[in-house]
Amino acid sequence: MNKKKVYPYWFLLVPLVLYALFFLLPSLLGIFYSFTDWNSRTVDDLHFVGLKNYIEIFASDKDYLSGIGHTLMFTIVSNIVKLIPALFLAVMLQEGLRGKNIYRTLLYLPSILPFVIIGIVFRSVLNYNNGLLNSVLEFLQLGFLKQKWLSDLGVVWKSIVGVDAWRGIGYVMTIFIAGLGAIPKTYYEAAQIDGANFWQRLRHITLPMLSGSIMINLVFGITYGLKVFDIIYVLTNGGPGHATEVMTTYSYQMYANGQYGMSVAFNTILLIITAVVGVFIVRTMSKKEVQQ
Amino acid sequence: MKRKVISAILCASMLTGMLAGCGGGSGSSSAAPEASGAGEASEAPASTGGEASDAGSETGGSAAEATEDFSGQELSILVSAGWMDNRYDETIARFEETYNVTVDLQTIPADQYSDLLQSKLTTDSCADIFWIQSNPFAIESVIVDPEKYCIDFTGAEWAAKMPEARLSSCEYNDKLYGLQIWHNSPEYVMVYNKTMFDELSLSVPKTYAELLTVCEKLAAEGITPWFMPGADGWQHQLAFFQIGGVYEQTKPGLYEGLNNNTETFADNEKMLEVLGQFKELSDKGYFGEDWIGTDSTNMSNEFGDRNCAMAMANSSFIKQIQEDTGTSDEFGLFLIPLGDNDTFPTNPAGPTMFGYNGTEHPELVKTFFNFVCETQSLQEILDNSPAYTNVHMNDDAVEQHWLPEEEAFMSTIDESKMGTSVLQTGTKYTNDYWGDFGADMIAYCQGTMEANDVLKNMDANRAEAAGVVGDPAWQ
Amino acid sequence: MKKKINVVLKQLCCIVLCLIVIAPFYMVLINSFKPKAEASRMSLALPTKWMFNNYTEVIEKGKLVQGFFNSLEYAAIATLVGVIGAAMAAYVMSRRRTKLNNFLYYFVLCGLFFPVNYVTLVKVLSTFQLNDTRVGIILAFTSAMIPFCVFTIYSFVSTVPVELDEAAVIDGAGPVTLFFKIIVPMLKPTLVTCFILQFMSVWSDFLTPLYLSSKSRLFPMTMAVYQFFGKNTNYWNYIFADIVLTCIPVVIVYLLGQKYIIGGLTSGAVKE
Repeated sequence: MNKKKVYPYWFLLVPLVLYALFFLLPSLLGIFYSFTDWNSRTVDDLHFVGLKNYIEIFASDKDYLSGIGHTLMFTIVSNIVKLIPALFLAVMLQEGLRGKNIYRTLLYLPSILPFVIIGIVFRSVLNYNNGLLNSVLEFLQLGFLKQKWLSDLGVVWKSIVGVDAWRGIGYVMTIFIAGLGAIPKTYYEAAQIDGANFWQRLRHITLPMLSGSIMINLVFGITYGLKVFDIIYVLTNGGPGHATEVMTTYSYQMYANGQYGMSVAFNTILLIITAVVGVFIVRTMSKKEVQQ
Repeated sequence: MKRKVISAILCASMLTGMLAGCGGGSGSSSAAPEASGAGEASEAPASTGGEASDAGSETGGSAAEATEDFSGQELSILVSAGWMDNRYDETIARFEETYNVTVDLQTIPADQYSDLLQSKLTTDSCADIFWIQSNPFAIESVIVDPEKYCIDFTGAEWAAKMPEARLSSCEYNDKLYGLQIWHNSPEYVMVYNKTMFDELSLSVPKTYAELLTVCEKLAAEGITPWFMPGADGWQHQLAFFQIGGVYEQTKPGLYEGLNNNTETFADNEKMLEVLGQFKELSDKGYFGEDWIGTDSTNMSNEFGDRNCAMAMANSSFIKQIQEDTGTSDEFGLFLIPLGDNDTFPTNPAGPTMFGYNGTEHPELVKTFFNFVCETQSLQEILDNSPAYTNVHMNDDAVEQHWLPEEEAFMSTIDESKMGTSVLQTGTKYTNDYWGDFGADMIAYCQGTMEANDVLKNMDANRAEAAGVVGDPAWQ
Repeated sequence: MKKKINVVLKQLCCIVLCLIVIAPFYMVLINSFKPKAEASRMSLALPTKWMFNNYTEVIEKGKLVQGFFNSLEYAAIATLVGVIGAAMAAYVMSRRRTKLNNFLYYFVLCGLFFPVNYVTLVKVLSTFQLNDTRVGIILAFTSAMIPFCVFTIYSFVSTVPVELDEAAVIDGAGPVTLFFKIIVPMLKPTLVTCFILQFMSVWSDFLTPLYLSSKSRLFPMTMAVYQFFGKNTNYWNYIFADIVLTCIPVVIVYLLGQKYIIGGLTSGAVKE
């Protein structure tokens, strides 16, 4: 079989040209600008300033570094909160539960909603005085659990992570369900005969067999966490004060203030962090597989 | 194996990237309307503009020589949501009919507008008419290069109709660029439930001490004294900035000093005092139990339900409370008494329209500007904006609809207390950092920041903006 | 007995979770039928007066019909072109692992790390005279989805046996026939998944059309909601009605295609 003829290069032409021209080129131009004094005034008259923008980010009085810290914190916490419950949900829905298809469909539904709408809805649900959440708590005689969900410094991150889980858990679960579906039933039957309990089966069959799905979810989750923007923008916009600023919200503010160069520099830092973390995960994962 | 893993990972992260929408850069979507422009959509008939499929904008490229035959042309207008609303619909429809043109009205989400305008100007793809929230310094800081981007209207017919006070927001280097049709109602003063005050035999507070007493009594009745929608992110700052006159009064020459970089926000005693008072009210719960997490969504209902007694709002808000909730309570207005303020928030700022210099049909743009300044148009604009009681233009033929509450309030204010503009538009670069200052104020109220650092950040931000512009006073 | 309790507990847990998920949807729906002031309370109570004309008002004021067809055009065309194009590319790159192809593969990978920059995008588009056109908007959407689609499809292609290609070639099929008649049907689950996910993301993205056009008749449906936000007063009844109308098409697409999502998303990557 003549591969050249059967798999012609011209199949690549259209998608690659489009991608290079209308996606990659503008993005690369953007990174180039992070080394210039690009702002709302110098659009036509750019000057190369080297690393000045980067130095300013790290040396500024404003606490940009806390944005980096928050980003990392959110990445870790939000993944724990989504992955573990989603795993148990998936296991539960994988077993022959009546109505499981309806549950799957419903639980996935939030992830198709636009963020704007999630923001509008949850700012109202989390309102202290007349929000749905506090009203329900009061109704259930759980008034002591009432919180200032979006303004108490000790609670606001929990609310964000909670809303993020509301949105994302169905998605994570769906991927776990796919992975569970690929585990042969005979494994569990054998374990049952050996008298293994739920936890033993989880530890010795489910988790090892799920490593593919777990990895996908981790990578999904970590890159999402590092790039998180929308959910914070629509819920708190970095507030109260600067308590929930992350890298992308700072970058957005700089953009809005016309400091384009600084904004792009912030994005570039994020890009580097994402790339480093990505390489790190690939390394550990491939090592693990070699051991197995 | 390894390649598979890599591909899976990259596939996965790609997916996430895409699903997460735009991870950074130029932002995303939110619904928070920002501190600019104003107004409610009216019940007026929906726009008929901006449809027509046969928009041959190429025809008549040089209309100047012709007898103003614009037929078939399309006039595009770029505006932030809330600046035009439906109140221009009738006028625009009439304009379309008169000149046989189509008007393409592009209403942009408020939080996207300034980014978008900036991008449209720099990429030479702006609409024929664009708007900005102008103030005496905004033309320079927002439009950046008016000579390049704006049509010079110096000597236009409509210039005479512009009130003197508003011209400063429309001119740059002695050239007239902008047209500001706005109202002259008291903006962001205290609206209060008069009936409730009378029942509790409270009198209008004139000083901070009196305000505290009033708040204490209201709070004892289980009423939120002062409704403060902190979650909106742009309203609570008003308490600090609207009383700009009192800072100037305490330290004459302050505004000039701030504009010449010889004065600072930091260490200004009056400002520190006001911030301290604001925090005290917050600490005592007089803004409501969770003002930082509350937005203005439910504000008129809160008034109607008698859950709150006062709030910073425009005079027209009274009408809105009554319409929304059907309450029979009476309402009134008084000056924000923080820092014992007794000055009126004079504000020459407002949404202002400009002609884009790169337009294909400048004559049509000029015609439109003249058209909206005709008495009939002004009257239509006023009548179609239920939120406004008057239109601030030099045209005695327009029939104004002042509210009795407004007139009562205005009559209590001495002319001499109206001389100073509010702080955000009376001083350079200040307004551009509205949101930052608001965030800092909340950080201060939550005890994670010092009052003077809030002020210092404003100085630093202003210096940065001045640096970008190349302002000689900051060199 | 113990098993029964177990099942009941599980059912209960699922029902509670689903209620939590549904409550906000219900809140939006029910409030879209209320008068203005009542809607801004955002309660779960039934409307005191059913305002069905909220919907007709929104459709008229928000020009939703025009917006709907714009959104449909962008989402359908961009996604169709993007998915088919990416499938062709992924297929060739996966089947013919030359050095060049591997390089191109990683070259496309890079796309996932880069943020979108609208200002530079507008500049590039206007050099091709594509600024302010439907074609430009669609191309921008298409190019942005190519990396994602290529990667999802790439790993899936290797699960399609090469023997199929060989058999088809022996039967005299050319590359185009082979791809569209034999390969595409085999890739259907992953193609449908890509289509659905991308369709949904294009549908909810309003920033791209906003930056790339300066004519309101090119605006998508999602933009309309902003017309109901004012400075001091928001028309929550209209906002909610608009949200319902904007979401219906995506929900329909999701419900029609949901059975593919699980299979198409992961089969390539999960299988070792």
